[in-house]
Amino acid sequence: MPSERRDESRTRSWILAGAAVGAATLGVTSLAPGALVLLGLALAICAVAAGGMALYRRRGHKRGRIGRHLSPQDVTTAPIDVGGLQRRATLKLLGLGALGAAPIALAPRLIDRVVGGAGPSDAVPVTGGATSDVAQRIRQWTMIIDLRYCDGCQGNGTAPQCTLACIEGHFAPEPMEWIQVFEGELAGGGTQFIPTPCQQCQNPPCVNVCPVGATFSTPEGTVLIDQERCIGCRICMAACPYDRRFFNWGDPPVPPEALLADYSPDHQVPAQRGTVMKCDFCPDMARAGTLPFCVQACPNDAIYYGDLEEDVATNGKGVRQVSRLLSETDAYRLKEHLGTEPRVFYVPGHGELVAGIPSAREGPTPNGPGSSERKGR
Amino acid sequence: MTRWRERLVAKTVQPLMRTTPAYKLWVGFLVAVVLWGVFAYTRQWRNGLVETAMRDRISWGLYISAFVFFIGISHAGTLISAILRASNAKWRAPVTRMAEFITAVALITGASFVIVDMGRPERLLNVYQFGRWQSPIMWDVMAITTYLTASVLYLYAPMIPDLALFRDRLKGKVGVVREWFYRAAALNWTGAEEQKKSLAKAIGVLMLIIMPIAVSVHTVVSWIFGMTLRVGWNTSIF
Repeated sequence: MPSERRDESRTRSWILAGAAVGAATLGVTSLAPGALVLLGLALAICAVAAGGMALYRRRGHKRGRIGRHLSPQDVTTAPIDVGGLQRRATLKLLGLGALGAAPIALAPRLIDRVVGGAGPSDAVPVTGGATSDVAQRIRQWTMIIDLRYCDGCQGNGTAPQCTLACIEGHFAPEPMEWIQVFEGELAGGGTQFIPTPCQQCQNPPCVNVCPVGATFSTPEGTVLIDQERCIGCRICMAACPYDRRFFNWGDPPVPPEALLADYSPDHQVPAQRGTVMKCDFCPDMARAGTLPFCVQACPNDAIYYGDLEEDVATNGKGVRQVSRLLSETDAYRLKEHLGTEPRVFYVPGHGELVAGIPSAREGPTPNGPGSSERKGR
Repeated sequence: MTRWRERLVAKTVQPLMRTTPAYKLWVGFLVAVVLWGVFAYTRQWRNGLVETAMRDRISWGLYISAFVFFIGISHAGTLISAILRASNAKWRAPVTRMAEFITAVALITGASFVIVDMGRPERLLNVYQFGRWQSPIMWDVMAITTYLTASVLYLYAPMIPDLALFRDRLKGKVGVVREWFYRAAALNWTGAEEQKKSLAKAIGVLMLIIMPIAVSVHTVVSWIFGMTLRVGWNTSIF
């Protein structure tokens, strides 16, 4: 029957259209994953829907595919045998639907593409595993903060030096404190000072939730932010359990020195309004062999910076073996139970080894706090 | 029956031919409120989000809570138009059209709040270009777009017979653009039995689809909070 042949060819053309859309989606999604997967899915679904309509369409008085062998009189009285015809039509529809699933097959590849490597940073050298060539080695940066030697710079009578040096060195806009000294109450009375930089987590909640991949993990274990991509949604700030991410609410003051630097996620200058910033472990300085600003500035040399791969860390005065330091001092990390795997370790203490400051148990020294004879170690 | 129906149709069609001064006044007032919002947003555009007085620890405030609120409001519309239809509650008939309109408008409003809350709204297309499916915000974009599409369709489909009514009754009484719009939107609706059956089937499908979509949307919105590690947010009971 002519209408049947027409319907068959129409179905065929819709199947071809769906195949073409699926193929186009496969080809084009290699260019820009996000938008075009959505578009491809949408088009494929449209093709499926149109194909379905082609199968089920009725025009005015013409009978559709289902029940087409019946006459109008049969419709009211005879039971309609639609089993075989309906099954066939449904199978055709499912076949078309399988084409709509074409982009889903791409999903693992796309996910790998986005998650796998480093983000937009080209400055990080990705040269493979550890090599004997020191310059080529991929470090695993870590920080160990010896709380026995941190008194929050109370002995100096100044604001915490690590915080100030970081703000100056990075031109961090006010009131951001990328490394911030938190104060905690001790059980027996007294205050514990805990300098807290970005913990550079290995399972970073901020990276996990970023919708555009503006914050990303590097092969060196650090977490950086691409100010050119950040859209300022601030879900990373909500996700960080250590509250170490800061937002440029207004126009940040940009000193002239900051304008001289080329843009790179490695050093976050110049700051942009509406983007997020944080401590980045000073990767460009570390690669050049300089210690981060906070490590350099600590008057008690309480902060160590080092490499887990090579198992060394230094505070500028001495070099320690990281694994031994951590195991001997029973070092801990903040909020371990959350599973973020931070790279900042804390040696338990409360500033008791800073000479001149009375510890919680001993009582005041003869010369009182802030005496002139002061040495970290 | 016919006289009653004629009076009903006349009453339905009459507001489309003429608007009262009270209506114009009300719309004028609402437009003024919208312009006030536009002015406020230009201030935010010029000075940054510092205008909102949000700061680093409480970095999400009224914008995001209003977004969640309006998405919730859209569910009220879906509840009346879809869920009550599925449970065959006949009393919903007078309010179901209004409910569907509320759904569509509340969704658009809710989505706008998220855009207004962005620190760099000119980079909105980054979400489509670089979007990461691992992010709860991407799930939210996907879910709300799907819900909006389904809602608009669910608003439009039952309106087709009414649009056909307008097309027939208002011929020559309203401008050319509106006549064309009614003709195009009515999709050759003649009121034939087969058309009615077809439409009923389509509305039934939409009704069944939109219910799980609505459930999923608010689930996804809550994951934006639940997938963080913020104390109190990362649990459902606190």
